[in-house]
Amino acid sequence: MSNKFVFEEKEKFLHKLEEVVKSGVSAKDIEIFTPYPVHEAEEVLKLKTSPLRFFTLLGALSGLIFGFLFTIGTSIDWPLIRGGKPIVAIPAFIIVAFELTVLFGGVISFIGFLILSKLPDVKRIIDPEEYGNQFIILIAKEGRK
Amino acid sequence: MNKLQFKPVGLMIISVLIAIVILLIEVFLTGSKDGSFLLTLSFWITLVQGTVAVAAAADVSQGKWAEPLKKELFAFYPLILFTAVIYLILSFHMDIYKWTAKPGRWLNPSFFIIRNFFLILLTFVLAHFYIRASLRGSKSKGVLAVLYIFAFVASQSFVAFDWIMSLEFPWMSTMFGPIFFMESFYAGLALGGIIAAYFIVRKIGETSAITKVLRDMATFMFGFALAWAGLYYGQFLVIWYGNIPWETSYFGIRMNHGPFNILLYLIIFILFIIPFVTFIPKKIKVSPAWVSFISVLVLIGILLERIFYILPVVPVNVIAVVIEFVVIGFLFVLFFVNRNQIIKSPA
Repeated sequence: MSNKFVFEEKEKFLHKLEEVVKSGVSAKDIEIFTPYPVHEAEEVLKLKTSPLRFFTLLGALSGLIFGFLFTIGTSIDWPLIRGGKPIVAIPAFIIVAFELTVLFGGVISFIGFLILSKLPDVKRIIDPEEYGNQFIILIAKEGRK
Repeated sequence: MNKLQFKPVGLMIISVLIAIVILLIEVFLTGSKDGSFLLTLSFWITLVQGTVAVAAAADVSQGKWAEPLKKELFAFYPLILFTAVIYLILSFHMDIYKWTAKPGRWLNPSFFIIRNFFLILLTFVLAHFYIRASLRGSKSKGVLAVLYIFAFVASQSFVAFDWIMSLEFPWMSTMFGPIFFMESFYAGLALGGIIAAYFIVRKIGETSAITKVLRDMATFMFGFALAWAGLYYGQFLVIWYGNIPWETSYFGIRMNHGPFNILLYLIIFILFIIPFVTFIPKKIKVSPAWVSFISVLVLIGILLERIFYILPVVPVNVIAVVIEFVVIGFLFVLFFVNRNQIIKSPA
C-alpha cells in the first residue's frame, strides 16, 4: 500500500513534494506522475543525472564516424567521378554523416533507455491507474513517517 | 543609471540627435562608395526587429516562457522607426550598388529606397499595435503578432535580397532571405539572454522565473545554432554541387582569399560550433555568465557575417562604423534603462 496525493495544479504539487522531501522521506520511496515533464520535480527530489546521455553520446559519435567512414570507404573502393567533384567530396558526405549521427544517437538512446529501465517488463508497463492531467505523488508505505 | 532616465520626448530628441550624428558621419567622413552605413544598419535592424519577433513568436505559440522579460523585449521597438528614418541615409551611398549604372524596373535607386523604407515603417506600425494589444492582454494580440512576424520576415528578406545580395548582382541565392530572418530571431534571443543574465546578476525581478527564461533562451539558441548551420550549409551545398561559375564565384572570392576564408571558419565556429557544444549541459543553460558570454559571441558572429558579405565588395570606413556602433549601442542602453517609460506610453 502507498500514500497518494493528487493535485490539479503544478505549483501545489511541487509545494507538497518539497514538504514530503523535507519531512525526511527518501527519494527512492517517492514515485511521481505528471502529465508533462516537470523539471522542478527532479530538482526537488535531487535525482542523480541519468547515465542515458552517455548512450546518446556514444551512439551519436559512432554514427558520425561510421557516416564518414562508410561514404569515404565506398567512394575509394569504387571510384567514380561525379559532376567533376573529387572522389572524397566531404561537403556531400556531411549529410550522410549527420543523418547517421541522429539515427545512431536515437536508436542507441532507446536501447540505453530499455537497459537502464530494465525493460521490457510487462508488469511495470501496464499501470492499472490512469491519472490524466493530474499531478500525483505516491509514497511507498516504508517511506512514510 | 538614474542619470540616463528620460521622458519619451527626451528619448525622441536624443534619437533625432543621434540620427543627425550618423548623417554627418556619412556625409563628411565616408564617400559615396562606402559600405560603412550598410554594415551598421544591416546589423542593428536585425537585432531590433528580431527582439520584437521573439516576443511575438512566444505570443503566437501561447508560450509563457517570454512573459517575465516581455517588457524588456518590447522596449526596443521604437528603434524600428529610428532605423526606418536613418535608412534614408543609404540614398547617399547608392553608388555601392553596381546595378545603379544600369537601373532596371526592380533594381532602381528610388524604388529601392521607397519600398524598403515603407516596409520597415510597416514593421514598426505592426509592432506598435501588436505590443499595445499584448500589453493589454487583448484577444487580437495573436493576429497582430502573426501580422508582425509576416512583416518582419518580409523586411528581413528584403534586407537580405535588396541590401546585401544585390551588392553582387546578378549573383543570387534563394536561401539568403531565410538565413537573414532566422539570424534576426537568433540575435533577438541573444539579446534576451543578455537581459535575463543581467537581471539575475542584479537581482531584478523574481530570480527563479528569470532563470527559467535564461534556460529557455539558451535552449532556443542551441536549437537556432543548428538551424543556422543547416540553412547555411544548405545554401553552400546547392552552389557547390551545381558548380555553375557565376554562382560559385561568390564563395570563390571569399573562400580562396584571406582574411575572408578565416572569417568564414570563424563565423561557423561562433554561430554554430560554440553555442551548440557549450549549451549541451544543463548547468551552462542556467549560468548567467555563460549565457551572456555566448549571447555576446552570437551577436559578434552576426556582425562578422555582415562584414563577410559586405567587405569583399565595397570598402568600409572603420572609424565611421565604430562611432555609429557606439552611438546606436548607447541608444539601445538608453531605451533599455527607460523601458518603463516606453511601455507606459507607447510612441
